[in-house]
Amino acid sequence: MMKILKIVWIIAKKDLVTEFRGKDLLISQLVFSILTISIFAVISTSFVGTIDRSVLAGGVFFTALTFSGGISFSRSFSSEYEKGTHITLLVAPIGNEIIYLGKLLANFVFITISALITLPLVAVIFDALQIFSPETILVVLLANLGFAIAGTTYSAIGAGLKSFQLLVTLLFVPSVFPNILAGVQSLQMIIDGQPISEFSQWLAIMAGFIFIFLLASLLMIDLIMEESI
Amino acid sequence: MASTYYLKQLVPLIVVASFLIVNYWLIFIWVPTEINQGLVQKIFYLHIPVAWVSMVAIVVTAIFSFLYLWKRNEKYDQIAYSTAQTGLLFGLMMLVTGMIWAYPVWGTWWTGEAKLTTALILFLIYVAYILFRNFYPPGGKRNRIAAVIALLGAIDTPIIYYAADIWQQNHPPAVIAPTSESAGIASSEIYIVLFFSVITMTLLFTLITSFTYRIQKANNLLEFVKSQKFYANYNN
Repeated sequence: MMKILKIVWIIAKKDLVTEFRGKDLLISQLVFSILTISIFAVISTSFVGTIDRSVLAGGVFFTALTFSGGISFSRSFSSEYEKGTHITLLVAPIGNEIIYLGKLLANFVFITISALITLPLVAVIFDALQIFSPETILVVLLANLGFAIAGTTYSAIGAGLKSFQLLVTLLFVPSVFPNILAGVQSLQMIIDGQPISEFSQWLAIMAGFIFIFLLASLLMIDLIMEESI
Repeated sequence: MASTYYLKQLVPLIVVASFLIVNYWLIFIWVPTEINQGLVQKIFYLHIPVAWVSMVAIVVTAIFSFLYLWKRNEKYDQIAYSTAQTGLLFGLMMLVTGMIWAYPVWGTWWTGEAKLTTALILFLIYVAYILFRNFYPPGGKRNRIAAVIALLGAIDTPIIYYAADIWQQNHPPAVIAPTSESAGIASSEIYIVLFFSVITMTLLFTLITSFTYRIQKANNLLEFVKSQKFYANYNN
């Protein structure tokens, strides 16, 4: 078990080190998130004084995270194809599910970094400072794990295609729909000052999504990554 | 010999066309107009059957995708793809007819209602499935991954519905029109016509799917021939 975890970490570390050297993915993910938030911020100025803008905070945060995540996840496996390193990964004496878990861990770290920067921005711009609560950490981590699982699976699906970014985003966004709904509603309840027991069913949906999607992905990853015709 | 072949092709067309004619006669002439919703209620005889067929299409696509992954028989993949294509067409019809009905009855074209939301998201997943098949180079890998996408979509369906249902409980859709969904639909004639419409749409769906299946088979044969030609040129 420890050996498997070590290999998973090595694969994740490879992706993280590569990304932290270049920072292309992280920067583009962040810029995309900030652009999305800015658009909503400008549009919502027309509501100032008429509605409480904090009601938009959860929706804006998860919209920014979903689309920027979709774009960045799509590169996870494709970057290996571009460099030709996918063959090295595939011939390594490790199972495809270990490669998948390594990529998943790296993607989870990337989207969590993005969330850490975008969340305070959303809280400040949309007057939703109540968002800074311990429950938010749980909600964001659960939602991010769901996004990372689906994103990594679809990234493996789109790898090697010319139009992989478009395709992965098209597959990823509708699939994570329950996760988005659960995340938005939970954050909104936190902003409204409701206790965790009030949104426990939403946390259960996110946990269910994680369990089902992870299990299905691990069972089918060999079929996705198999290179034979 | 040729005339027997064409006759065989024509029989299903004639049967489905007859069913459609009888169905429209039942809808527009035989069944009385529903008293509360008026003429707009008649769209139910189209909306409910196409919704039923769309759901059947999703289940059939998922079953045949699973069978393809299990048996690796190309026939199953072709059936799954043909069903998904036809299901997408009926899914679009379901969304459009639902909106046409909702506006005069609910007072809005669209609400956050769970069934509507689930139908829309599933529709988008199957659009992505079809796009994937068009983007990916033909071959076993494409078929295999397409089957995985179809299965992931089917697995996601109950979670999408459950999430949309709870969301709807938290944000009830605003129904501001004079009538509501269940108003006055009780006549036995209505149920007879509805049942007949479901049978007609299922037959139409089967017919269109059989056409798309044959086109798909011909396409696969063409791809195979092309690849053989390439191989022959390569060897020469």
